[in-house]
Amino acid sequence: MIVAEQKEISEIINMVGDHNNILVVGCDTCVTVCLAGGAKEAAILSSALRLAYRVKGKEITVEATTIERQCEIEFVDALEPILKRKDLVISMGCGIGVQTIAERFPQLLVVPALNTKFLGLPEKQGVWVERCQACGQCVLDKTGGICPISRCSKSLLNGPCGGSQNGKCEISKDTDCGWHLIYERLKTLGRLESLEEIMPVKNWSTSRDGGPRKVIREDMCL
Amino acid sequence: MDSQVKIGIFFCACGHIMNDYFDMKVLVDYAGRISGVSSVDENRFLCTRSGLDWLKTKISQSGCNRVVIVGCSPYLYEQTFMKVLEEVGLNRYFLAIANIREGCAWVCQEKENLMTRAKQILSSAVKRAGFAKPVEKVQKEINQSALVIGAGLTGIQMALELQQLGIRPILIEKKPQVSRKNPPFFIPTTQKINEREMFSSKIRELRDSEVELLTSTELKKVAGTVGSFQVILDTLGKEREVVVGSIIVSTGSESKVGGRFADLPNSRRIVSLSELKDMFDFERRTLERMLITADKRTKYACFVLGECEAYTKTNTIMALNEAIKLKEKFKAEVMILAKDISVSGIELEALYRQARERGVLFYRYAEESLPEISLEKGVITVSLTDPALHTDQAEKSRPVTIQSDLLILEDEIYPHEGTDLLRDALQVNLNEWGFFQEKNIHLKPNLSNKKGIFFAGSCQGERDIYETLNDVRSVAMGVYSYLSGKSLVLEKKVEINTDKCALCLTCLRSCPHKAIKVGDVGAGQKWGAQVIVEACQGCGICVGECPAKAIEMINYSDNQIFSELSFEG
Amino acid sequence: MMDFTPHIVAFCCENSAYRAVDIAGAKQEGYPSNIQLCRLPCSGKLEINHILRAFEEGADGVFVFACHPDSCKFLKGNVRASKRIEHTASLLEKIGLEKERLRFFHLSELEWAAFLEAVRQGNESIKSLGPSPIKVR
Repeated sequence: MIVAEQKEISEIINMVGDHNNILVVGCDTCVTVCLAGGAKEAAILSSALRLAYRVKGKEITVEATTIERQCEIEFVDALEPILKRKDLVISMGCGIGVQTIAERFPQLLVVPALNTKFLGLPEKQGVWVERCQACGQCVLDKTGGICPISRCSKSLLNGPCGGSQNGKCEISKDTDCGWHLIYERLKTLGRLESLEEIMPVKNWSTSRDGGPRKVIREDMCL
Repeated sequence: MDSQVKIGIFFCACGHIMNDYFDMKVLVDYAGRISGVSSVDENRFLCTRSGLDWLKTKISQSGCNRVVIVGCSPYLYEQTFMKVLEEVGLNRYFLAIANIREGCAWVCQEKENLMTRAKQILSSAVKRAGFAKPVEKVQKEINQSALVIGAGLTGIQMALELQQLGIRPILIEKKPQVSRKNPPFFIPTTQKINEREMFSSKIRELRDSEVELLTSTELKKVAGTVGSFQVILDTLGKEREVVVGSIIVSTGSESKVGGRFADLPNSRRIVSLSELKDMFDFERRTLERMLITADKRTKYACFVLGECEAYTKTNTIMALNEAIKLKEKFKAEVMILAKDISVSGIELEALYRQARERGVLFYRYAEESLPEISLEKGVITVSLTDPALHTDQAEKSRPVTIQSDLLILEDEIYPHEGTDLLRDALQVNLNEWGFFQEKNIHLKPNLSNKKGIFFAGSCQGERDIYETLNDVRSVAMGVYSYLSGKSLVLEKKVEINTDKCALCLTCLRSCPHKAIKVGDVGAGQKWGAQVIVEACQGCGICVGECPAKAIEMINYSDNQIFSELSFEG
Repeated sequence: MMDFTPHIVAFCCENSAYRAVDIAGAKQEGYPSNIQLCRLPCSGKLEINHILRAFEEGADGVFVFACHPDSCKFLKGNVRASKRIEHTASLLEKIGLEKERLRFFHLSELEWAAFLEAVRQGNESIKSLGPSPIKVR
């Protein structure tokens, strides 16, 4: 799941600026699940914005709505009837949602209410952790199901660095050393020998280094 | 607000009280002008039989479909009025009460504010009624039987009492047989009841009864809810399903020496209170060898209490009981070392006095100087400083050293092994010490967070025999009150809109009653969270948590809450 | 600050505070009549947008009455409420409303005197803050 976090309200107020007819759009998928931009957060944000402007002595119109998935043109289409006379859209979707709405309605200013953080999972209610960096070249088969790219601070491929101490990473005592976890896991699996195989230098072109990426499945194209 | 909604407003004058405070004509006039109101009527005493009959006729005559009662606090007659609504064929939640007596007349000290506040309360109530939606009722058939888990004294007594009330009990026990050596329970010796005998007689009573007893049996899985739990039982690997209306946990507790002395070297001369108790019954010879010798030297037995984290009453009872017995049977010199002896319990003070009269010595020690125990070449030495033993005011207390032939340590009480598994199977809560957590320690001390599942005896923590038997009686009545009827009526107050549900699991995680399940909503529909009506207590916590606003509490909808937030005038 | 009568919304858990309010009423001791009550099944039901809505409707102050810690009928509704209120208070401050306008109290059902004390004192503190800037248009 995509994990996001709401921006500081002051930053959102700055983005709103002089606009006075605003639509806050929540997204029913990932950001609802990570409690950042669902229907409830959309209602809270619009109420907070109205209040913030009334404190300044200005009355603005803020409406809230939520759509199924902001990252699908067909779902974004549903916004069309309610966008009339709106001069600003605040998307509470992830970065993809903001861009999809902007792409679909190029004449409209669309701004983000969230910072999209990472791909991860809730460790427990209210705490999310990163598990994948979408590097485009999965090595989880070699590392006992623990990702060295996202869980090692340096994304090392052949074991920990000197900063690994007592299972923790040098960047913080709350961060596990990814390679320590991999070692322990492989030990449990009885597959420590797989660590002796040297992983070649990673081809980062499948990751962000290769420029914007695209996936094409020819057989699926209509 | 729905245009079909017709609100009838009924004023109660409460005799003359309302007239003393309000200009009723103005209020009635105001009420008639609120949008959606179809009729306004007045009565002198709505809560009387004739008043209620009048209300019934008026509702039917006026054809209104939402009712606002203007009168006293909802705590007094809300239920009564709800019943009236049901009698005329309206949903009981189509009612709103404008509490202008406790909420206004008796509140406002400034008379000029009286009418404003009354109008405010009235208009909120009308809006609230306007937004009212029906709360569905769910009828469940009841299976008049109960599963009792654990055949100790509590479980056996429980089964016997239920049998008497006409509820068929099934009693299961993990061990191969109901054992006389089950964990001890505690009666002060002043009571002249032998607890082993009492237990044996209960076992005989059980054999003669028609209670179904399944030994070597454990509970594997539970589904369903009060009235009809489907339970999978496992008897030595063989599974079978039974359906029961209620489940009572009476798994008891375990005890072992805890605290600082848990690691003392093994010695036959160091025992725990419960071990000593068992020795009296089953290993009298060993005790005799330790405490009676040919040389006629006085033998010493020393109890050390107060080392456990919490003071436990059962330890005090046991220590006093056993000290008296040691004194009587072996003429030993018996000492009890304690921070404090607390005797809050039935017959406990008499027991303490009896111990003193028999010559048991009590030493006190302070929190700062705990007694030390050493064991060298089979000799146990206990040393302590009793603040009461000093020669003069200025001098520090002299340490006391006791060489003891028998050292008795306190038991610490722990939840039974397997409590966690049982918790998971039953989906109930444990408290911070790992015992079963009651729903409300004051109001519902034996009810779990799930309707129909009860706790009795020391599976909830320490219990003496009186407390245990009280538990049994109150649980039996609780079970009876659930299962005595033919069917159970439940209200479906919380509804989840599966179309909006994002399956984030927030409600599943935050429901204190485990009343949410996530899965297939129905054939051909998408997955979603669902409320288990039978477990739902109507707190609305899930509604407060849901990030998708997919959950609604029907009698506290957003619109209804908002209608109480606006200011009139 | 000029003398004014604030609008105050009090969200009350019906298992504790709402009953305490009732008893306070029956005692006929009187409390500030500008306090408007909103009944909740549990303080854990209270949502952030309900509080914001009250301010939008023109409340000068919002009080929330929950059960004492560890004695919530529903185990932890009051804990969730207190966390939510903390979050809301910081949000209010960021949008230019004094966070003191939102107050949280623990109350049991028999503590009617404590309720009186809380609303009287709370009423004074809202008075000293002055009218909500929301109302000044």
